[in-house]
Amino acid sequence: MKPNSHMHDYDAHARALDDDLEYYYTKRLMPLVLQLFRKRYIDLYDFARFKPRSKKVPSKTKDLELRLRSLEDRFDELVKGINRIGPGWAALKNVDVLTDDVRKERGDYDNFFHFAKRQRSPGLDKLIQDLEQDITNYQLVLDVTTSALLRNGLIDKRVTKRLSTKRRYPSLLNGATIVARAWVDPEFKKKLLKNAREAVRELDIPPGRLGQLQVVENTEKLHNVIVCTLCSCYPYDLLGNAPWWYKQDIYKTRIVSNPRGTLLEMFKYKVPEELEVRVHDSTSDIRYMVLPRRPENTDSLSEKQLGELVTRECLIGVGEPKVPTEVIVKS
Amino acid sequence: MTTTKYRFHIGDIVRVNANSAKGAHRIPDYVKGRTGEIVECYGQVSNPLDHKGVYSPLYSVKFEINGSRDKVTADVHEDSLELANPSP
Repeated sequence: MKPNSHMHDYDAHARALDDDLEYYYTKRLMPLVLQLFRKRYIDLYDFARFKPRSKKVPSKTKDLELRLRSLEDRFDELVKGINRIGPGWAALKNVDVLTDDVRKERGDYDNFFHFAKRQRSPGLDKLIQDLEQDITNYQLVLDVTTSALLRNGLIDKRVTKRLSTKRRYPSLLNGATIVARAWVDPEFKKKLLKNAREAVRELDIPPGRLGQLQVVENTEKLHNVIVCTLCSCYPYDLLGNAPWWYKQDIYKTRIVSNPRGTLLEMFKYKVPEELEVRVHDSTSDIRYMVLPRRPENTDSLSEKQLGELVTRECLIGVGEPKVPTEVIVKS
Repeated sequence: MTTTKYRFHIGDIVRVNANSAKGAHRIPDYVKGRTGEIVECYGQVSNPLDHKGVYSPLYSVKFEINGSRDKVTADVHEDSLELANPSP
């Protein structure tokens, strides 16, 4: 059921989600929307006129873990939607909304433009309730904006469609594809370890633009773990959002001083004694991804099936890929 | 990775000098003033989305972790490094 153990600290998870959601709304979505207003590409009356299509309402459950997971999924969708219309993704044609303008609008250069931080009432259940309402609200804002841009001919529909296909979108699928190929193709693996950004083009995966990607290989002597103690850098443009615990001090400060203990406590993951653990702190322009070892008894699996064994955790080094529960043999 | 045009080579033992006049980049506290081994040289990495211009050549420096044989590497720029002992 659970691929790898996660920290079962629902409080911390919810608060991390709250931070992430606030970031995407006040620093990515709203500043873009305000810039679009100022340039008269969309207007408040677009919002007044908007008739939302009836959406599937997420089912009510009391299980906190399920609710958090559902929030994460909806958050992923929100982020994808924001990226689809953002200046960095070139979906906006003939619209000069520059990253710099958006930065101005969100208060990077002038506190006047800062969005206020909201007071949260105490209690985990209330927080989760608030998050569920917030995500509904923010998704609505995104939907209106996207719809108005489309209606006014300001987004190229073909570009947004292309950006929707999973392969080209930053996600775990990219990582899984890369790892599976490296497991079956030694030539590709060599190229990957030497120059990852160039190598992944072969797989029709956009190489991304953030600094340099370095893939580090786990061997029978070495186990790699990734962290960014300074600011939680992660190869976002390849793999999508980092897991919530990756950005928490409880991981960042302890993994560099006691990797084995931290991995055991936080992830119930015991690194075999004979391996040396090497923690990579991405303190500058290099972003790291771990190439885990191929699990045993996987010779008969197809490349696609191998990809399904890859988890977000094993690409960071806090766990191993899944093991095939049954060996699939073609008779 | 060619290392001939850079000050340091893989294998060099270097010290992190966080007070260097030229090296103005963020360095995590736990490596400041510490000595480690160069394990990789990345040269000058361009990353225009995160910062303007290019920094001095970037190296991965490997440090010991107290009380274990596990290691931690941090990526430090040339301007913040100085030789502790040259490799043979």
